Amino acid sequence: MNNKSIIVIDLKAFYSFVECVDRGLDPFTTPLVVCDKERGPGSIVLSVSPYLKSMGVPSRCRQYDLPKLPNMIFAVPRMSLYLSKSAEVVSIFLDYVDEEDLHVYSIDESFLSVAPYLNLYKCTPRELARRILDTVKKKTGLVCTAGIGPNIFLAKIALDREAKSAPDRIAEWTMEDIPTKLWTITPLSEMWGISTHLEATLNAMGMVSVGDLAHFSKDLIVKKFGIMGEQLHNHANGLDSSDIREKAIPKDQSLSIGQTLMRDYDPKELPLIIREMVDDLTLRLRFEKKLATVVHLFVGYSGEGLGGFAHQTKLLRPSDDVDDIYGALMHIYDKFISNHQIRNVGMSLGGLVYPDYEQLDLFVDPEKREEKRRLQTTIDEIHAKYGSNAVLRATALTKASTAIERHSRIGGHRK
Amino acid sequence: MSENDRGMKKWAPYASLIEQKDYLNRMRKNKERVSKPLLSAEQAEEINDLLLHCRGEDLIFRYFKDGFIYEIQQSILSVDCASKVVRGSEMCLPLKAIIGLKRVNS
Repeated sequence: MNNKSIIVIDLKAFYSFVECVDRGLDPFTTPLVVCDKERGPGSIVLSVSPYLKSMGVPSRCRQYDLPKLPNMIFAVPRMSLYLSKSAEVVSIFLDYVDEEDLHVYSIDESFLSVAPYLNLYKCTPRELARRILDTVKKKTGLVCTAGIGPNIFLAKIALDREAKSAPDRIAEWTMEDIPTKLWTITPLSEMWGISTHLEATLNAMGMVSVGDLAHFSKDLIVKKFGIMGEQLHNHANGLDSSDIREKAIPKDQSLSIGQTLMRDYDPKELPLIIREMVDDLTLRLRFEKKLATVVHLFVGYSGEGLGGFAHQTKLLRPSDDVDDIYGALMHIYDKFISNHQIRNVGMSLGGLVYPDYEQLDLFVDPEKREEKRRLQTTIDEIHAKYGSNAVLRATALTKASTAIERHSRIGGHRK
Repeated sequence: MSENDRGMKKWAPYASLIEQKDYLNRMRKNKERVSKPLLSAEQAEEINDLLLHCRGEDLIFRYFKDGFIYEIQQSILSVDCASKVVRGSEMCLPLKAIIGLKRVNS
């Protein structure tokens, strides 16, 4: 455990970089932003090219924050392109390390545990990082930065603090760097895991830099913040015992879906929306070959102070059937809905189990049930092959429907 | 381990893009793909011999499809030279897809 070596790799300005490469432009000289202009001046800018970053454009901003450049390129988000590029890069990582030693942290960031491979490749972690970065550049045209450290935390901080400005885009930190590089970090929120809110609390306790935090009494911090306090104190001392192979990450314990509606909806219109969301959510459930035992519904009203409600109920038996789940959700809906306009809807399926056996229902014809299941499987296969808009309920053509619009987006942005 | 923090839990991905999982799974599946093995003249000869000389007994077919290699045990009903397929008791196989053929007990 003491001779771990972690490389954290991050794809530089990922979305805008992909757009530049795809258009044959140099990201370091091209003013390009990924931003769906049609959504108005308040549109979120998803990514800005390195060229714009070097001019001081913030990475996260809105369209009206951008400088007015005559040659500015607005790239409409193409989420599916970014996801397949991201998978391509992960596939390159898997040429170097085993699945077990890889942790995909986000669309543009992955952790690699490389200690077991250094003998095989006969190189240092830094040389290995160089090789991986070069391969990614050669195969995809994308530029990465890498942080290297004795644990995930230090590797991540090395990446965030140093690698981005390093000439070779690699920063390596050891335990010896802690006093000079980690403890000098101030304000506190510049360290991973400290929010501005937490920073204010720590400031009030007399801590201004990470060094102050590292030397503060661990007992007091644990007393105040519990297990998060322990984690915080360990991080400030450059300690992080997490092990990539641990994969303690629970497999999705529940599946959920939610949307903010484009306008206020009348309570009478909402069942249609719930229907459509159940279709999409149960598709994912069936894809994972699981059954749900609990359903949860959230409805948020439009307008200040009206709030909403969130309730859950158990299904009569584990199910992946659209009508079972819709029925249970509507049971909640009818019971709690009041006469306000609605703006937010969310639902989740919990208590997921694998269908080892099936208890037959006295009141449902098992043959009918099987027939329905086959119909559902066929629809799922059509969706998988021809896209989610290939087969839809006729209600998708009504004004209130959001299905077609949602299916043409990934993570709320254009495919 | 004296450090009692939350282990890998704190590094759990936000998973704000549920679709990422699909893309990664597809990539993993693709990574397992192999290219179609090339047959030497002797290997092709062997397959041909067995196709000609078998007498309706079960044979083990190794065949290639979409980047993966499969095996199936079946007997031959007929060999259709015009459409270049072997009609077996279980499935119909294009001759081109067959990369190995042997008797069950050999």
